[in-house]
Amino acid sequence: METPSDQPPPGDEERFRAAFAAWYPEVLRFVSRRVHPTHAEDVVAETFLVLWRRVADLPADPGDGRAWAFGVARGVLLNDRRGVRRREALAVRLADEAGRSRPFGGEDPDLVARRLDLVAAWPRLTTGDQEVLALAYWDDLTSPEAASVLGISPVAFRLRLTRARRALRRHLDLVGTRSARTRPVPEGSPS
Amino acid sequence: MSRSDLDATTRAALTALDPAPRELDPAQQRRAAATLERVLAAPPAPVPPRPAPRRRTGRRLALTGALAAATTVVGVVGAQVLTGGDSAYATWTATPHRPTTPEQLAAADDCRDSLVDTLRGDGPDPTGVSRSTIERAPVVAAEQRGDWTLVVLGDDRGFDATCITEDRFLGGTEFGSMGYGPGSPIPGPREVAVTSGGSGGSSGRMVSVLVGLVGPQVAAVTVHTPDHGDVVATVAGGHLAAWWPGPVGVTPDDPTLDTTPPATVTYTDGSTREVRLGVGERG
Repeated sequence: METPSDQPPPGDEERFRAAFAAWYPEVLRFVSRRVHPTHAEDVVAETFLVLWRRVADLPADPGDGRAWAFGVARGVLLNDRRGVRRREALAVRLADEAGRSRPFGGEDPDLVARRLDLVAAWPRLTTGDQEVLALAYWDDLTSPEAASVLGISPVAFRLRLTRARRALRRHLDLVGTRSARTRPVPEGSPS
Repeated sequence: MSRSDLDATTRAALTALDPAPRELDPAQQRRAAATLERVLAAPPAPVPPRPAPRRRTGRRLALTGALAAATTVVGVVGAQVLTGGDSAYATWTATPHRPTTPEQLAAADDCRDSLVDTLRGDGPDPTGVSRSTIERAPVVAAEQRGDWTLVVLGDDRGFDATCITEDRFLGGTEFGSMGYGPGSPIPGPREVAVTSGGSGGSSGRMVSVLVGLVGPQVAAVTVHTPDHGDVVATVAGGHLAAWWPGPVGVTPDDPTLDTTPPATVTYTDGSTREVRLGVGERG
């Protein structure tokens, strides 16, 4: 039976409400990694508006659905930036290290040092590298899911991830070498 | 954990630097509830089409099917150009060069690592390819076309894997495939045996790949493509490799892609012959 074009079929609203409840926090986190926090909720609202308009396409599998929602959010973010650079990948930001992570007693000095190095190395990565690293380590996606967010194959995603890891290691080595000259050596560490 | 994974300290540091909030605070929850009602109040309206994952999967399977019709390769996958259109291939050249930069030379290791990771991460591989097969397979062909590097791994039991990557990686496209070709054809002195190939991609953005073996009297192979004219294949060490943007033949939307592009084979004695380079066929 044909569905009137201005009215979603019965049951769609229920499905959408369930999807919204399940995905909203995760989509907000996904977006918060990629835009300033003050803009994130607007992007998420726009994302769910798109999802609502395409409610008939909601994947039945929860994993597929979440990745699909991320992919739509990514499209919304890219649309916002269209015209700046057509092939741009999405830059990913780090937490504000200065404001939130003062070393405190008992924290592993190696971890503190690595975090500082990461803060220095991250901006040196291409946005494409940042994006695949975030998908792999923050967004908690499997390779096929992360690949579907980017609209590429799992093998292609793995290729990018391999290269992004290597780029990160290279930049960490560079900033680590530089900062080691000025960083106080933790007590008891080999010199 | 994969051998190419980051070390534990770096992973922990990355986790600590995740800028996303862990939980929604009460104010965020109230705004989320308001958003839900506002969205539901919006009239359904047509939006620009964007492929959903299951549709992409369908195209990927269709791609696999198109290739499987000509070869036993199962794990062939393609990737769409994200947003770049044809400019993604702006640097592509019809004549290949040898990879020279560190990034290009690392492409083989990247290819191996990525294929191994794919086996591990995505469950049993339908191709039956094992990790050791990938790790042991030497590079049998490598070529550079502009910013794009093609690497072919292969062994004498019919395994081959292909990776195409863009050096600059600005959100462009990578392609990969692996699997077993039709046996281990040993070509005659003047033969060209294509072991795997076909077109892959989605959204009308495709690349075509040909990988195979050549006899000792084959000096050069030039593939005649519909959109990019004559594409000079890499012919070295008894192997053949070439790729180009777009379909092998006909049009990107045609599900019955012609997998036997015409080509000219030049022999060491200077003579030439016109052939069709279909997978499993000998030209």
